[in-house]
Amino acid sequence: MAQELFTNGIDAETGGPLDGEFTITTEMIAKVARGQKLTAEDLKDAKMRKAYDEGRDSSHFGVAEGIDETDLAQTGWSVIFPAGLPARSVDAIREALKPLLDLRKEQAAATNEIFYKEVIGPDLGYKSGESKNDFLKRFGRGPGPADPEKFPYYTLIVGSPETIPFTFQYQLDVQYAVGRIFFDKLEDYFRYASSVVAAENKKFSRAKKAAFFGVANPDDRATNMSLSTLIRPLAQQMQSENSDWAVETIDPTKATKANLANYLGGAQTPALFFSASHGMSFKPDDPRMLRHTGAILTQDWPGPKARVPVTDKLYFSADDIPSDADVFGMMAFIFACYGGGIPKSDNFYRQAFGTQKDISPYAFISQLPLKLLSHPKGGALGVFAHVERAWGSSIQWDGSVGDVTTFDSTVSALLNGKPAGAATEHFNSRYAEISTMLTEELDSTSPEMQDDVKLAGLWTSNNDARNYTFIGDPAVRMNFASSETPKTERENLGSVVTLIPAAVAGASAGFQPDVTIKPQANGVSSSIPSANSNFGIFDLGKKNDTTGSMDGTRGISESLKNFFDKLGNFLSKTLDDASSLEISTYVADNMATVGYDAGKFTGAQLRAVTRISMDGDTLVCVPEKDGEVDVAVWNIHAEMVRTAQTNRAELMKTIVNAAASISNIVK
Amino acid sequence: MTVFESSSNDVLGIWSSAPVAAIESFGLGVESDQIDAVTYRVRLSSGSPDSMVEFENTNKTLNIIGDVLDNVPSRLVDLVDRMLEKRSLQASGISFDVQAETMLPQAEIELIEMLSVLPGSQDSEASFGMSEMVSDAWGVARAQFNDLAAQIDRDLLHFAWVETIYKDELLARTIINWGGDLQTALKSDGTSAQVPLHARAILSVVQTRHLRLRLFVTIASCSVKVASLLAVPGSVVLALPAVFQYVTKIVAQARDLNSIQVS
Repeated sequence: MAQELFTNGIDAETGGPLDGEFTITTEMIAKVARGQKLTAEDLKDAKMRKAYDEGRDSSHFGVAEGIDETDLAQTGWSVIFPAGLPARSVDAIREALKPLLDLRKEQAAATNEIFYKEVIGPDLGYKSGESKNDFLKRFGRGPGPADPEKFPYYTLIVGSPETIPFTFQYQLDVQYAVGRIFFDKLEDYFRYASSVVAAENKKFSRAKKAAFFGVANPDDRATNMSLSTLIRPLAQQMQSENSDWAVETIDPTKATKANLANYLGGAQTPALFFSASHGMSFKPDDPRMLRHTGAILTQDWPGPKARVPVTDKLYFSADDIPSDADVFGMMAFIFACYGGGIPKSDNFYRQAFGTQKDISPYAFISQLPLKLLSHPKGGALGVFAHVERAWGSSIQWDGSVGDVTTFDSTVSALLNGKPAGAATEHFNSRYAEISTMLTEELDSTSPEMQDDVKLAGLWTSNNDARNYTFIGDPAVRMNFASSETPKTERENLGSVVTLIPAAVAGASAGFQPDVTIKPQANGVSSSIPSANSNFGIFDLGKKNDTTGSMDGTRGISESLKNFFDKLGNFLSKTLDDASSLEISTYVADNMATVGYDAGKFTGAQLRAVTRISMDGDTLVCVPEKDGEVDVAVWNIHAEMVRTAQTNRAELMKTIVNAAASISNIVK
Repeated sequence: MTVFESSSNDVLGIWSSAPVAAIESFGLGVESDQIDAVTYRVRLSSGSPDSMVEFENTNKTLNIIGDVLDNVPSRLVDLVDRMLEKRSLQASGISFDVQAETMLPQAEIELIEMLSVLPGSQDSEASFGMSEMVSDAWGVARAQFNDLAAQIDRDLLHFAWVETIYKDELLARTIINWGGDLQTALKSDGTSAQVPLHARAILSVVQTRHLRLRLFVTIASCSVKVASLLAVPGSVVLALPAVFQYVTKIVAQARDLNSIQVS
């Protein structure tokens, strides 16, 4: 009998699970699994892995025998750029990454210079469409353990998943230790690079503190399962195996957005942060998509039965990391759908229904991990996260057996000083093992005899294990000691990321981050969904249909109606979301240095804040000067508050009038 | 004299379009293509009392535009009713005999002329070859309406920046979202007399954005009314550019009349 499966993803518009259009069942997945067309290379890899399983310890994937995976001078280190990236951009990124490249070169090429490799340029770089085996073949390497003399074990991909696909990363990651970074701004490359170098060279450390953030939303099977089957047992296991660590499990009642801020940059920020929750997903034309995909849906969400649109008050995204966050030197593990990124097309949908379903304007890495890595006060070392959907079956095997060994092994590896890329070998092993099992199940039994549930479980677990990625340099290691470097000293060390070299700053203006020009990304307008920004309804006069313009005008009319439908919804939601009004007043001596980043002014001092909720509750932060209220600033702020209140009243009138007119138009 | 500038075109005619380079020169600290918001800038050259008077005049103009938008639908309904009544008295299809309507205001006359070229408004068999019907005026009106639609989209999706410049120095900068949340950075030595000017600038921007939305919705709802004069599919869409022209003309007339009276 078909069983329903569930994933760790929530659709922001409906407040319901992803794929609300249909319920994913084991029967569907089993069909997909049977229809899965493995490439010759997939089969070759699977057979190779199987041979390895039979002949060796199955956990020993990765670098060839006899090589110490913790020593870069033995494993090597490389960086891969897209072949098509313009030379000017390559040079700019190299300049920005220079601190990291210099460090890794010094380490990897200590005894053999070929162990450090920059895979850059039109001839050497990753060529569009290349498979992992095609790529390695160019370096004289085929499937099998990494041989640093041919190609280094640790590999940092610098490029978007549009130009160097996630699938390449997955394939390469089976035997190599792979990480990826991709930033839109040049300065972010520098910030990350100098953060990693400062953390390693300056020997600063975080206290031996780990935090396990377990969301369990009401009436939600997925998060209740991840709490009971992943978070709690993993935290307990870590504590029992590492008595010198302070391991905190954040209870669901405290797994709120506000409290999460304490652990991602606030006072409780640990050396290792681990969360399990739903991840946010959006429709491709939603302006929040590019910035908020994969955001951590916190306990504030009332659960699937509420079926309410999810606003940014219910999830924690990159925008919620404040400019003074203390994430320097931490590492995070985010278990959530799309926590690491999202492909352009839904792989499951394509295989199941034979048609392409675009779930994103283009493949991209989620912003939350990238923001952690490039924080202007010093970045995190790296983030383990999941690309695409995360299936519940990855932490509960066969529907009943909780299995956190892979996660526990990864955490243990990190605590034992293994670099992040090597620590993920346990996921690679799991992927390889399940892949082999899946292949064998398909090969050895006929469709009539196959167990749909078993097949579906294998298929989802296979994809799940494959899709865990590391965002960051795979050679980074966790940074901890018995005593924590004092915060002020950490801040001083972290401030190195603000000393952006002139060459980097100068190149930033014309910087092109990627090979291709991506579709225009819409700006984010707080929590409010948008009307369709692409009207396409006024191509009057164009002879673009052969049936006559009657069909053309009908199509245009439909577009117009749809537009007004959406505008009406937008305005209604504006009213719903206008539950509070926030006014902030900053002061700066020099307005020319004032910037705006991550939702806040920079280069100016925040002096007063007022937040007024619909029910009249008012929160006020009053400016202070020499122990007294700064009356001058307060009067200015009060003027702004009055202005905002007048504006809000005007907005209500406008919306009410517009909504009434729109309803007539739509009729 | 107070100058009102915007980085995008303003169909209401309150904000003059400013060169983009000038706006980007304020060292925003974030690349301008990262925040696709409109920037509104008010340049004050005189002191508080004079500037306040100018803000009052702008406010008055915006109120007048609002009144126009309140009245246009009923004015258009009158026209449509008259036309339909004429149609019912005539044997054949609707007649847009302009000569008979010379007692109408100019805006109504021009609307009728524009509508008369559309299929469904003529006695001859309806032709669906749209491209042959489009005149230069239509092309202009269509392009302008597209601009307005894009502006509405931009207004709804993005923040707006509001800057107040006093004697060539940036006094304050505010970012405001559609919901009205404000974040303001002020120069530390700005006087309390100047801050109300920035507050008025913010109010002007908010009123402008709201009126723009009202304009758009008014045009759309009026097009629905006018569409009843056209007996073809997609008549609302066909009517849009003509109605856009009609409404914006009336708005411009009211605005210009007010400026004459003020001066």
